[in-house]
Amino acid sequence: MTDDSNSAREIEAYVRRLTEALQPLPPEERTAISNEIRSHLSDCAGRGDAALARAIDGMGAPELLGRSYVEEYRLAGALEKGSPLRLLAIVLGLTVRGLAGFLGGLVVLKLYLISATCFLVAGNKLVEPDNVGVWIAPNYFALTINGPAAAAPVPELLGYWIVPISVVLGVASLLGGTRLLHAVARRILKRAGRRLA
Amino acid sequence: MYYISVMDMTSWQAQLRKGAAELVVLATLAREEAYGLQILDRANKAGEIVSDGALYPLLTRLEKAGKIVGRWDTAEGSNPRKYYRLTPEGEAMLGEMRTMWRGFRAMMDALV
Repeated sequence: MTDDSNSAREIEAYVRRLTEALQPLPPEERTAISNEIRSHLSDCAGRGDAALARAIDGMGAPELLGRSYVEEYRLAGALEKGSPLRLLAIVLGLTVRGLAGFLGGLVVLKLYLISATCFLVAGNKLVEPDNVGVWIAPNYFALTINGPAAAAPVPELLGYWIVPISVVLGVASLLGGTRLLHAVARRILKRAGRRLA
Repeated sequence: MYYISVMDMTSWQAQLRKGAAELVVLATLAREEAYGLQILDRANKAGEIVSDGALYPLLTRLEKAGKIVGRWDTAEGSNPRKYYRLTPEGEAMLGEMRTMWRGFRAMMDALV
């Protein structure tokens, strides 16, 4: 068997593993990436076996290279489409390997839950005004959405002011969470791009 | 006596390279259009800045961001190659990056 056919086999084996790792991508993206990597390795093979070996070594494991492409594609797509829930799911899925990113994802999730709670408080105050409010006294604090107001030992504190306050807090949490989510996603994109450098 | 590990210095050097890779690739393409291996050869002429595995995801990202544009050359008898060139947006980005790089270098020269 000639050196050329050995090189060709080695290149095809690498590209095949890479293509498998690129399965989550659309076919046209997958083909374009695989063709380009095949072209690069063929150019290197033209310089000799040592150059091909260096190139394959420099590329790293095909699975790792493929994962880098897939992560970038998913994040970039979610950032472009602007769907916070989809972006959050991808960020949480990706960041399990990085503590800072994972904590960022959890904070985003918490902010979204706070936002949902605030909107629920504002809405419910209009439906059941007596059972929604804030009660504060020494050794007693209650913030209820649908609680037994009669059980509280002191008068409710905010009255209908709880509606605009909750709306403002809800919007602030939603916007803050979304900004943080985008920041975390961009950070992951940068790290994904640099991981193999 | 202080001990500086080889790993510490290698890691620091790798971080420097990572930060420079994007600027180096754009600057390489500013001269003329080129395909992957040509970009690597030119970028790494004075020492390895960009690795094979880092180059292609970087090119894909720059292309999607509209900073560079690629075209396949599939002439018969030669290896099919994807050639890249800068877009006007990429040229503008390179100009800004060069200005920032010069400022950063001057600042570091004054400090180190």
